[in-house]
Amino acid sequence: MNDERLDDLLRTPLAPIEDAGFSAAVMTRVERMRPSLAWLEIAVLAVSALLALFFLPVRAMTDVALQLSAELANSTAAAMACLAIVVSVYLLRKFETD
Amino acid sequence: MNDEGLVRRAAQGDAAAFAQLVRQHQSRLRGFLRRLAKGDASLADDLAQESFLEAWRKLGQFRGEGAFAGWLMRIAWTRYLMEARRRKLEPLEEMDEPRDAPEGLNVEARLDLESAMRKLSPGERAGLTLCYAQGFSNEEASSILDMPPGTLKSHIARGRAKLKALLGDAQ
Repeated sequence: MNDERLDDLLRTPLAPIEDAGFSAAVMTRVERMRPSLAWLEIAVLAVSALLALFFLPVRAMTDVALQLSAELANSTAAAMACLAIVVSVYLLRKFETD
Repeated sequence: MNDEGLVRRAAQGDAAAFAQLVRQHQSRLRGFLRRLAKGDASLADDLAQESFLEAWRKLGQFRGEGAFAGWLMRIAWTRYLMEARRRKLEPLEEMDEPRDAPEGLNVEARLDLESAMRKLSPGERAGLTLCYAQGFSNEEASSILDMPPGTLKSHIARGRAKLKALLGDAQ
C-alpha cells in the first residue's frame, strides 16, 4: 500500500450513522435531569437560608433596619428622592406607550 | 441557526436548542466513538449518550474557544479513556453491525481499514480519525486529545506505518 492510497482511505469520511431514536433517548435523559437539578437548587437554597438564620445576627440587623426606616420616614430628602423616582418612572412609561 | 447560537440558547436552559445540537452532531460523535471502541456500536452509543449529557451539564463552561464539535469530541475522548481503563482495555472483537460505505469507496478496502484500525493504540486511532476522516486540524486534534502537537504527530506517524504494513499484507 502506498502513501497516496492510504491517505485516500484515511480521508474517507466515516459512514453516516442514522439517528434511529438516539437523539430522542438523549433528550429523555436530559429532561429527567432537569427536575433533579431544580430540586438540588431548592435544597441548596433552603440549607443556605437555614444556615444564614442560624449564624447571622438577625436581632441586631432588625434593630438597625428599624432605626434606618424611622430616620428615612422623617427625612425630607428621602421623600423628595422617592417622589423623583415615581415621577421618572411615570414619565418613562408614558413616553414608551406614546 | 448555527452552533454558536444554539449553544448560547442551550446554555440558558433551552432544551430544544440542545436537541438540535444533538441531532446535528450525533453521527460524527458516534462515528468517532465507534472507531475508538473498535466497532462496538453498543459501547460507542452508551459513551456518546454520556458525552452529550456531560456536555449539557457543562455547557456553561464552554467558552466558545474553538468549535463546539471539538469540545464535544474532547468530552467523548475522556469518557472513552475512562471506560477503557475501567475495562482494562479489553479487546473488543467483531463489529456489531455492518456499515454502509460512503459512495465511491471500495467496501472491502473500508472493512480492511476498520479491521486494521483495531490493531492500533487508542491514541493512534483517535489521531488518525480526527485529522483525516473528520477534518480537524492538528492543533484542534491535539487540543481534543489533550496531548502536545509533537505527541500527536508521533501517534499519527506510528499509526500510518502500522496501517501500511497491515493493509499492505491484505492487498
